[in-house]
Amino acid sequence: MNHRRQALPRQIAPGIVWMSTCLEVPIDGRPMHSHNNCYLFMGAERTLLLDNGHAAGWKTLRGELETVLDGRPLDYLFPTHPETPHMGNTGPLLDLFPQALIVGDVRNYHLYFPHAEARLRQLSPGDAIDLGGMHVETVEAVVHDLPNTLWAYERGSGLLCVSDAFPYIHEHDAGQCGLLAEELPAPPDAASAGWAISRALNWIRYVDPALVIADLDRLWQDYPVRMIGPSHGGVITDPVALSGFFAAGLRQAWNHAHG
Amino acid sequence: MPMADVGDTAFRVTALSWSVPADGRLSWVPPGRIGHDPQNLHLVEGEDRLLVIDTGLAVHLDAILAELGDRRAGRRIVIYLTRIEPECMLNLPALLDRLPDVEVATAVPLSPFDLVHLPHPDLARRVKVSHLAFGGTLEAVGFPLMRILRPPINTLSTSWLSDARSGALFTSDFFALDLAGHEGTPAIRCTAEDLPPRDVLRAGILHKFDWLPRARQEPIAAAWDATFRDLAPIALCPTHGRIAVGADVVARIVSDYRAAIFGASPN
Repeated sequence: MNHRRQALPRQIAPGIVWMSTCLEVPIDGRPMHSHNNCYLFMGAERTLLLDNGHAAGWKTLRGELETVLDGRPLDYLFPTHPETPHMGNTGPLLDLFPQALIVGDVRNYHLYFPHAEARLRQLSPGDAIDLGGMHVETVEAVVHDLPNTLWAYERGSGLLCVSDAFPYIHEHDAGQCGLLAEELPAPPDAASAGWAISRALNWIRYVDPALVIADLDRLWQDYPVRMIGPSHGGVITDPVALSGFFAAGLRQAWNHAHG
Repeated sequence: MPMADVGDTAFRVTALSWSVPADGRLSWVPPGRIGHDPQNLHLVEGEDRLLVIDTGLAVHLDAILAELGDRRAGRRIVIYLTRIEPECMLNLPALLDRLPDVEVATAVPLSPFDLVHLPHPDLARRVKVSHLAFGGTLEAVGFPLMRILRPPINTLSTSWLSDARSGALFTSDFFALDLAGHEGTPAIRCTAEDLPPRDVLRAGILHKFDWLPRARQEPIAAAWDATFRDLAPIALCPTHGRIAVGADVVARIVSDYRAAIFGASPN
């Protein structure tokens, strides 16, 4: 059977491009991949890169970024939280785009990048960055590892970028890196999500998944989400149909921890 | 270049500390708590190797390089990474590039060279990285009495190190809530005077480990008690926050943290 193959970068909405510095995670001898996604938002006036991947993906990210930007500068770096897979290319990006600011929860960054202290802009949930005809709004991360995590929402597309939530692994050799969750030969399942969740969200061993799912249900009331952009899974364009795999993955991770 | 506050923590264990203001710009300090937060680099001396736990903050890089250059005394340097947060890792490329004869060890299940930018690609081929297991020791890198512990409470993949030779316990981002009142306060405390009260500890613990209030407490408390049942550290050595030295003060701090998290000890 021929399945669709799709490479990245990929435009997922007008002015929004999905990129990834995937991380290889061999499982039972199979070359599986875990996404390390970055989302480039290109407004009429300014541009913003949400997360910037891990250092091993720098060569790929740099090439893709320069191609997609096509001569435009990158104005904002928005790491969702200070963990190296999410902000591992911040240093070279600051050098490559000397006018770029780091935005988000930028506490600690004056200690990590002391030469760039003047380029830090602290944001809180509800704050928005105006890119010109496109606003990237910061959202409290209801699912996270480090508590200084922010999510982001773009109202025009309905894209909610959820950092460590909604992760699942994919098959690199089958060309799945750039496939939407809906385009996979089979939708992400509890096993795929559970594997990723148990590694990304260590605390799920101890916290009842129902509490997390209830948090998400409340969030959906406030934000009309038409697309979910995880950091460690493919983009989901039918949240109603597909977001259930995350709940199933949470339960699987919980059940696994409890025998 | 900021001067390090240098102190002997335990037998052949030295702490190099640099204080940074806790002024609302440190994510691990709860809002409203102010003071000075020591950032610690712990050195453990072996016969022919010097163990360096984590890599310190970029803002202190030049001073760290100078100190390690002075203190290595011809020994091979072993850098042990406890976590993959930037305060543990971001100086790794510079240390590998500018110090000769260095190797890396960690229990984190990721290649550290995938996570940081090496100035020269050949460093990834030249520098040995040892991936070690929880429950095992650092014997492979020359420290057979140093045991790798899985912390009872952690958010990201984190390891503690327990040194049977000196009695020091290296706790990464835990036991890290003892701020200095002013810049000149020594990073090492030897008494229980002015320890943070339990409500301050609880607020600080829940600030970083914010999932704890919703968690099932019994398995975590059991893991805590199992960790400390066989351990009687004489020094608590976090990556940040004041270091505690002395069996009595360490026991008091461990007890205070337990009480702050779970309520009073069953003992």
